[in-house]
Amino acid sequence: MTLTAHRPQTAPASPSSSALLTPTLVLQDVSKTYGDGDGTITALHPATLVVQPGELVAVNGPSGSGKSTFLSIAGALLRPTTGQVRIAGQDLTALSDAGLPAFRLKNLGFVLQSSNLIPYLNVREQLTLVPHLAGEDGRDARQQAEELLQLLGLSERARHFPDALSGGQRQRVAIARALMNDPQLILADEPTASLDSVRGREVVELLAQQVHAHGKAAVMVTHDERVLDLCDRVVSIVDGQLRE
Amino acid sequence: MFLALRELQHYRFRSVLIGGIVALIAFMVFMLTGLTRGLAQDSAALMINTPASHFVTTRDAAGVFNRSFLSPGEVKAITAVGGDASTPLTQSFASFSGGTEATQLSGVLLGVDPSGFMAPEITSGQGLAAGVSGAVVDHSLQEDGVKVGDTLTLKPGGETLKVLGFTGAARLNHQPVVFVTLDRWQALNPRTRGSVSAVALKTDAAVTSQISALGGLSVLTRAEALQVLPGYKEEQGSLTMIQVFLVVVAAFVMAVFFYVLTLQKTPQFGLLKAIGASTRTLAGSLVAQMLFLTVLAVAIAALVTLGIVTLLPAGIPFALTLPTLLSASALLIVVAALSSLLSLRTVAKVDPLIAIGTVT
Repeated sequence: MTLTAHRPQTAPASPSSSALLTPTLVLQDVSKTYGDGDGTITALHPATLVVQPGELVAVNGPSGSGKSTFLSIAGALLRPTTGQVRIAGQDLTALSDAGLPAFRLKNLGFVLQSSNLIPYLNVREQLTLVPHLAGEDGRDARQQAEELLQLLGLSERARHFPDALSGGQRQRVAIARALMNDPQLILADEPTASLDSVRGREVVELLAQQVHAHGKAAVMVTHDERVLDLCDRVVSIVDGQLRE
Repeated sequence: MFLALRELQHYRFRSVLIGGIVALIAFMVFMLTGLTRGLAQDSAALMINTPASHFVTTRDAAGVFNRSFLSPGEVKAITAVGGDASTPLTQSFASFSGGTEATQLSGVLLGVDPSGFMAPEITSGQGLAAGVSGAVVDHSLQEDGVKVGDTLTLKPGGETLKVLGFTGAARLNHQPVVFVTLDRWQALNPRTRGSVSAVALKTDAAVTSQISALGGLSVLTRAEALQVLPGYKEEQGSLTMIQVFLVVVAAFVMAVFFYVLTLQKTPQFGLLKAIGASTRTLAGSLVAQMLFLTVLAVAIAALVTLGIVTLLPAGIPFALTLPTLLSASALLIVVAALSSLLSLRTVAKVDPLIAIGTVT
């Protein structure tokens, strides 16, 4: 990646040694309010967050604090009321509603809560579904799926359906699927929910390892305090206010 | 397509159940279509297959042959306008004995001009000719043991008709037609004093309006005359209504089934949308599923119908041609495709946000 001098740089300069890299995710003063006039409810107060490649950021906070809203905005699922979202250099406000699914398909990886696999697809097909949706079927996709399954220790389970997998295995499949499109940014929503502490730790370790090894950026929403030490940075949201 | 087929395959039992319902409904639609067509042929094959385009009767008869008595003068006036494209025919009911069995037979005694276009086309034996006193009869009488050369004895007068030949598809009022010449018919029915029931026309609207202008007449198209045939509309109407109901029920069953499934799968659609599947992809998958299931079910039903037809007893009036079968199949498939619209709306409205926790 080269310097992006031709683009007006609105993101704050990175504080760390990765100053030469373009941040993968820039949330600039994003806020979300519902309703208008007197009945306005603020789900998220203006928040700014920059995530660099190779960085796993945990977003921590009690339920109802605005974590999900925050993740939805970062994941191009929800448009902020104010502020700017920039993922991999692309300003999301410049994309049409119809363009967002295609953008997510190409650039983002999602690891969601336990129920996030398609029940009627086997493990291999969960992975190949992503290139299939993008219309990129073929040998490359199958090859990549095999490699990811190998990497995450799932080769033995390639032909199993989700209901035959343990909770931890399912989340590993979900991580593998999130990596299938070689995304720059991975968004994880409570990936350790419904897992015991050992399995939960394994899943987050795996996520951290992939992020660090391949220079991905990841944002993980969690209220699981036991895995926070595996993250590079922890920000917390309380009553819609983001604090580093 | 990939998602659609994998899902049907994974939930095999569920797919077989819904496919089975559709197949049974399709089977019933096909069988009823065959019966409807069969009854129509049994009731009025003569009118369905006739080369005539219009029929003229007296106005007070309004198209019903056995209520109509056109005087020789009226017939002359009509044929003067119609020329070769018009030919008189006259109908009465006859009861006769003949054939091998000792039972009494009945039929429609139809007097026609042997040189006109209403003269029967024979399938065996000889045809009618001017001056002959014999009859050409519908081949359904063969089942009663009637053969070419047999003599039919009319009751109660005892007049006899020699069977000259057989013709195909000549039934009227659910009875076989016995064709005789006009002269012979008049001789057998002296009470009618030379009147006939109707004049058949093979012509266009210009000539028919000229004939209508003669006054005191009622000119019906072939299709209209078929509808006023006693019992025809009632029979066909009730069977057609059952068919329409079946198609509507099929549409509802499919629509509701897929709608409930779609509602159940809302979280899954949310997930797929979050990953980046477009609504178009998901909608296409749903329609593909619906069509795949329906086409397969309808094809199986069609094959079963064709199989059953060969086993049907000969006495059951059943007529199902391939074009009819194909158009009924096409109708069911179109109905299934339309019934997916209900679910498509739901798919389009699924918000990918539901994939992420609860938005607070």
